[in-house]
Amino acid sequence: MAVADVVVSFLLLVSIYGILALGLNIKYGHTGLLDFGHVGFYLVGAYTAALFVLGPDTPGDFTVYVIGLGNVPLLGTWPIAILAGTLLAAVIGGLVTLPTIRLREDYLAITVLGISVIFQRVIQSETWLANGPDALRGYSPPLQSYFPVTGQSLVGAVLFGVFVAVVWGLTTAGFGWLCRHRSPPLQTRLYQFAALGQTAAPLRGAVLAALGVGAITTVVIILFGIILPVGLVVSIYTWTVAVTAVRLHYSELSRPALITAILVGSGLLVSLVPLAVIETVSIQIAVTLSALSVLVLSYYIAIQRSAVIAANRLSIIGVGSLWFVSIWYFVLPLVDPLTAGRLTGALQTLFQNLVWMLAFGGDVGVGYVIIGLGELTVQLDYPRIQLAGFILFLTGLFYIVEQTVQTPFGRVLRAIRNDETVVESLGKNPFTYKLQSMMIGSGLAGFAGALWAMYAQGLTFTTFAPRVTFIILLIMFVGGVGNNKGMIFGAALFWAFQQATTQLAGFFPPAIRVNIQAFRLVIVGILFLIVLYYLPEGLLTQEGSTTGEQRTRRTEGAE
Amino acid sequence: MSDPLLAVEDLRKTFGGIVAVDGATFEIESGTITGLIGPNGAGKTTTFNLISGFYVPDNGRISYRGTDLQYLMAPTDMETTIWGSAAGFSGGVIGAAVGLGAFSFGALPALAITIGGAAVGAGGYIAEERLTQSREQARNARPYQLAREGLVRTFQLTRELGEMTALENLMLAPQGQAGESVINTWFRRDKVSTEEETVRQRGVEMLELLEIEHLRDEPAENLSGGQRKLLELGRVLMLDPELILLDEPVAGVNPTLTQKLMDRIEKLSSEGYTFCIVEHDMNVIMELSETIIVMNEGKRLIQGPPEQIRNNDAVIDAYLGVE
Repeated sequence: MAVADVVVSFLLLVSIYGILALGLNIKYGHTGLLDFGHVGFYLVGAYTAALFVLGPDTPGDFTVYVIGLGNVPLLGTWPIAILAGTLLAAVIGGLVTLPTIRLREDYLAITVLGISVIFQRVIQSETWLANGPDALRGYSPPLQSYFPVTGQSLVGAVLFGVFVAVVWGLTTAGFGWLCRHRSPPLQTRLYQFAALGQTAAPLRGAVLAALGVGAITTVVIILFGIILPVGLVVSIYTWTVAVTAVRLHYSELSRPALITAILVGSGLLVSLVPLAVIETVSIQIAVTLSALSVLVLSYYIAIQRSAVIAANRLSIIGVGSLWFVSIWYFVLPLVDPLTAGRLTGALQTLFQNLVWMLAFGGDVGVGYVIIGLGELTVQLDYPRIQLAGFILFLTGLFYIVEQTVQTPFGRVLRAIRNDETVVESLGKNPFTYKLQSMMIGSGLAGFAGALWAMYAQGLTFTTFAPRVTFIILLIMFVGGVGNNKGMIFGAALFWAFQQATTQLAGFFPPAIRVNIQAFRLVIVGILFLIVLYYLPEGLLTQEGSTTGEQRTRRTEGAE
Repeated sequence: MSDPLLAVEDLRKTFGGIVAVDGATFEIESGTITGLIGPNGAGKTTTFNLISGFYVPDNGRISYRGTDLQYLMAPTDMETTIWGSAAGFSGGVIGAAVGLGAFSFGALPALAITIGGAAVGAGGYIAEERLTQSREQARNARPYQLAREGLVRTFQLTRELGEMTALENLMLAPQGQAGESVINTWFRRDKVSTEEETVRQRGVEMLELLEIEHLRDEPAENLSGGQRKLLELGRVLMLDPELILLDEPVAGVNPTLTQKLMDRIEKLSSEGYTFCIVEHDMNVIMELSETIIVMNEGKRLIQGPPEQIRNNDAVIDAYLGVE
């Protein structure tokens, strides 16, 4: 499996948890309602969506559930299922809120925690409802039967076009947003080219560009049936935008700071090398840990000695991590084939990771012979189009939430978090606002639940343990309470830590891999403790005043 | 003499064994500035909390523009609808669950139980609703409904919204902003943003009026004590109120600013606003007030113009002392 595939599945989880965190952020970050039962609404959304798309229950088999609407035209489709999951979660969120909302913050948290556990137990013990303690299966995600797409049929070409349209539109929207804030001439010209000459507002430009490019792609594929060149072009475009974004974000870093960042990233890589090289486990761990402590210590000394490094210490870690990640993504996969002397294999791996949009290998696919790379089989697989959809949902919901909290409504929510009595004395009933806040937040959790049902293709009650709520709380605190962008960032960081520690476990002999797998939770915990110790307000501080001015960061010198 | 704007009659409030307000009776005329003074523990702040609807009196009545506060604080239709539909929905769901469980008896009884359950749930709610409503009308504090009627107050210890900027504190106040409804923020963006611009304009003007416009984008928690008092005054003024209860508006404010505040209050009073002020600074009270109410031990001691209060023996005994 190419690294690109790992990243795709990682991003799928990030989108689901990003939406969940956005929901909790409305409740706690904006309104100050501490909801320890967020996972309950995630459960409601997931099971509702699943019951909408499941076919009618056949008596006599092992799965039992109350109703399956899958065969009902229109009702049994995924869009309706997602909508129903969202709405039901919102309504149940409101119902749960009514009796509990007058409680003090901590009592509210505990009560809702209890309610979420009740939901879980209901699923577990009411066998007739959704197959009780056993997994609820038997449905498939939308359009899955059409995949993998090779571009040989009309439907395939259209699906490919839709996929490219979504990817192109999202990338262009991000690009336009970047160029609006800081616009070097070269990037602006590239943006205009990518947006098919649109100079309109980023959103409209992106939508039009997406439609245009999607249509062109479909026509090209119908006419010529070539998907590899299309995938190559679009992938390179996304890489360009990503690199531009990083470069603009860190454009103010000086050369010494950049060099330090690269040293930090490479140092991290070097200190992990013993894991791969040394055979004896005890020595392996000892050497790695010493190398890591030397790295941390030397960075600490560097901060003490150099004002430049001290001023940019966060950005340096950011760039260092990006450097580390790019090496992990592009260079490390080449080590194995190169040491085995397979140059073509190495080049193939590199090419596959570059063209992240397409899946390589597999039984079905179009074969291409490329000079220097040999023969490659390409197709567009299902996870990738699912990812495009999920990211589209995440972006759309992020946009809606952002628009919602930057209005008088959001201002009242923030006032409630500050001091409810003031809100009352100003003629606004806090109760109705808290109710709406809980409903919107729970609705978002329900939406995420429906996406989870789609992603996991099977639901078990154990997935919805209170643990999930605390993971989302963690994401929220790390990302920065009250900051919507921080939620996506926090979700990405959490799953990156998870991925990294899983990968780390892969270096150990199978006998102790289980122990390491368990230990990784400790590592994740420690990493987050460090983040919160040094940045108590989270990585991104709260923003979004309705007066248009951004608040200045209170932790001095943090960025 | 016209009807008083606010009439307090035989007001009583106890906390455990302490009688905070014990049969206070007084009136506030429209367009005047009334001072409310008395020694510590005389029940002034409790009286304010009762008038502004934060507390519910044990006994007695308060009428504002001739209407009893109890009626002004009755549950709104909106609130009744929320609770009503929630209980109806829950009743229906429980009924349906019971009905589905009864499928083993056959489809028809199951259907009957479903409908019956829903009816019992909804009907039970309606009965309960009637009961609570009559109870709640006498016993619920809904200060926000009084604020909507133009009866507003400030707090003795300022309650600024610390994490929000000074301008946001002011922009929060105006009533009935379209953007306060989440539906409008999604579907009527144009209206919300034009209105927001007007509100922002008003907020900036208010900051200029209070001469704290340089603190516009400063989080309110960074403001000084006196600036917070000004901000709080500005916030209630943004509501376009009729009767403003000020709890120690100049405590901790420096002399120049105090003078400025007094001028502002007098000017507003001449524009038709009615003020009721609790204050320990006798110079301020004597200079501002047209009528002074002296409270002691939860009762009204005397009510009259400043000259009369200054020379009253009982007041000197209880509060002012011999100069």
